[in-house]
Amino acid sequence: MNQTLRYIGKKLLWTIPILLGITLLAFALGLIARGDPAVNRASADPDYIPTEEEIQALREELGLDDPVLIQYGRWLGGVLRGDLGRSLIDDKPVLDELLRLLPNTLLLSVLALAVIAAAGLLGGICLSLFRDSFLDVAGRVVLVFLMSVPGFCMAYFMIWLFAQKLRVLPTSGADGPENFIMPCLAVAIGSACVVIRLLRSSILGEMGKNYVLTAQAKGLRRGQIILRHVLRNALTPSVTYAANAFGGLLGGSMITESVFSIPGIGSYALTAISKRDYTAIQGYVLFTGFAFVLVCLLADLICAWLNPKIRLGG
Amino acid sequence: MKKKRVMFILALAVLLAFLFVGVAADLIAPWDPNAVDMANSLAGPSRAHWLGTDHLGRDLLSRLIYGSRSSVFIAFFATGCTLLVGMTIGLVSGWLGGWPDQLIQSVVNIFQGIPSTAFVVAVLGLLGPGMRSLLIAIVVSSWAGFSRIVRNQVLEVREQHYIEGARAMGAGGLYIVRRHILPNILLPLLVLIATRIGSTVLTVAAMSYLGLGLRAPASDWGIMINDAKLYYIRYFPVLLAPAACLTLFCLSINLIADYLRDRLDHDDGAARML
Repeated sequence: MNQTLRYIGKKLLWTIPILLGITLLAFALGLIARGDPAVNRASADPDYIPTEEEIQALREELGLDDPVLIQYGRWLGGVLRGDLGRSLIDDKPVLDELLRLLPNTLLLSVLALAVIAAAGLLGGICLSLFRDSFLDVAGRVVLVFLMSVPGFCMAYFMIWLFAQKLRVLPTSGADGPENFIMPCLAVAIGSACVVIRLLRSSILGEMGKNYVLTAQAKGLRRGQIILRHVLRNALTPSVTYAANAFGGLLGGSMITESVFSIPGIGSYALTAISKRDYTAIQGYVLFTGFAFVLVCLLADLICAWLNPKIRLGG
Repeated sequence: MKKKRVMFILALAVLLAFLFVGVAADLIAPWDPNAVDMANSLAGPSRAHWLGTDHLGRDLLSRLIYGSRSSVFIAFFATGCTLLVGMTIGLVSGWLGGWPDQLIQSVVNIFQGIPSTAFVVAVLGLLGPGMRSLLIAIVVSSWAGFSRIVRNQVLEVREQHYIEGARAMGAGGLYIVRRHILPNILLPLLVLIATRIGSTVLTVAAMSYLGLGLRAPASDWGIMINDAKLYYIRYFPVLLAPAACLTLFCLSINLIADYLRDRLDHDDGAARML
C-alpha cells in the first residue's frame, strides 16, 4: 500500500514540471508568432487604417513592450487564476470560449473512446482466442486495411454512403445524437484497429509465460485463461495507446470537426489560426497540452493498478 | 512467413512506384496539372483523361501524379529531418547520461505533452501556411518521440560488453558512438522510421486539406480532397482517387512496418512502437 502511494505521489509530482513546461512552450509559441498582434488587432476593421500612436498605445495596453520574462510571469499568473487572456479579435475570454465548445468535443471523444475500448477488447480477445483460424487471418487483413484509411477519407466515404446514398444520417451539425455517429466512427476506427492488433499481439506474447502453463496444467480452458489471467497483464500497451488517442481527441479533432461542421475545440483553433489570434492559439495549446498530460497520467495509474509490477518495480 | 514476405515485397514495390512517379512526374503526367478547361469539368474517364477531370477541368491523373510528388517528398524529407534532429539529441542524451540526460529528457517530456496534431496546427498557425512552415512544424512536433526511443536504445546498448571492450582498447567516445552504437540502434529504428513516414504523409495531407499546408499552384492529395468536397457527389472519383492514393500509400507503409517488426521481433521500445 505504502509503495502504491509512493508511486502515485511520484507520478503526480512529475506531472507538475511537465505542466509548467507546457505553459512555457505555449507562451514561447505565442512569442515567435509572426506579425505584431497590436497591429493585427488595430487593423481588425479593414476600412480603418490605425495611426502609429494608436498602435503604440495598444502595444502598451497589451504589455508587449515589457521584458519577455515579465510577460511570461504575468501570463502565467493569469493562467493560474484561470484567465487565459482575451481573444485579440473579438475580445472574448479564451477560457470561456473553450469551455463553451468543450461539451461537443468531449462527447465526441468519449464516444470514440467507448468505441475504441469496446472494439479493442472484443476484437483483441476474439482474434487471440481463434489464433491462426480463418477469422484471425481475415480479421488481420481487414484491420491493416482499415487502419490505413485516413480518418478524413473515412469521413467522406461515410457521408457519401450513409448521408447521400442511403440517407439515414445527417451530414453535419451537432444538434442530436445521430449527428455524432459518423464523426465518432471516423475518428475511432483507425485507433480501434491499432488497439485490436496491439491487444492480440500482447495476449499472444503472454501466452508463452509460465503462469499460463500452470493454468493449463490446472485444466483451465483457453478462454478462461485469457479472460482471468492473461488479459490483465496484456492490457497495459493497449490502455496506453487508447489513452493517447483519447487525449489527442480531447484537443479537438480539427479535421473531423470541420468535415462534419461540429463546433468544438478543434474548429475554435482553426478559426483562431486563420485570424492570427495568438492568445487564442496559446490558450488552445495550453488547454490541449494539459488535457493530454492529465489523461496520460490517468492511464499510467490505471496501468499500475492493472499490473502491480509497474508500481512496485520502483 | 513466406506470405508476409511476398506482401512486404509488394508493399515495397508500391512505395518505390510512388517515389518513381513523384520523381518522374514531368515525364509521366499526360497533362499540366494546373491546365484549366472549364468546358470539360467533372468529365468522366475518356481516352484523353484516363481518370476524368476535376471541377476546373484539370486532369485528375496528372494532379494525382504531381500530388504524389509533393506528398511523398515532403513526407520523406520531413521524416529525414526529424530523424536527424531526434537521433542527434537522443544519442547525446543517452551517451552523456547524468544531468544532461535528465535535462534533455524533461524537455522531451514537455514536447511530448502536447498532442502532435494540435502542435503541428499551432506552429503552422503561428508561422503561416507553406512548405517551409510545414517542415518546421513537423520536425518541432515530432522530434521528441524519436529522440526518446533513440536514447532508450543507446542506454541499452552502452551497457553491452563490446562497448566496454572498445573503451578498454582506448576508443574515444565519438568513435564508439559512430562505429558501435549507431549501427546497433539503426535497425530497430527502421520500424519507427517507416511508421513515421506514413503518419507524416497523413499529417501533410491533413494540413493541406485544412488550408494550412501547401498553397496553390503547388498541390498534393490533401488539397485534392479539399477541392473535391463540393463536387464528389457529382463525380465520385475526384474524391476517391486521392483518398485511394493516401490509403494505398499508408497500407504499403503499414505492411512494411509489420514485416520489419516481425523480423526484428525484439521486445524493445522501437519494435513495439506503432
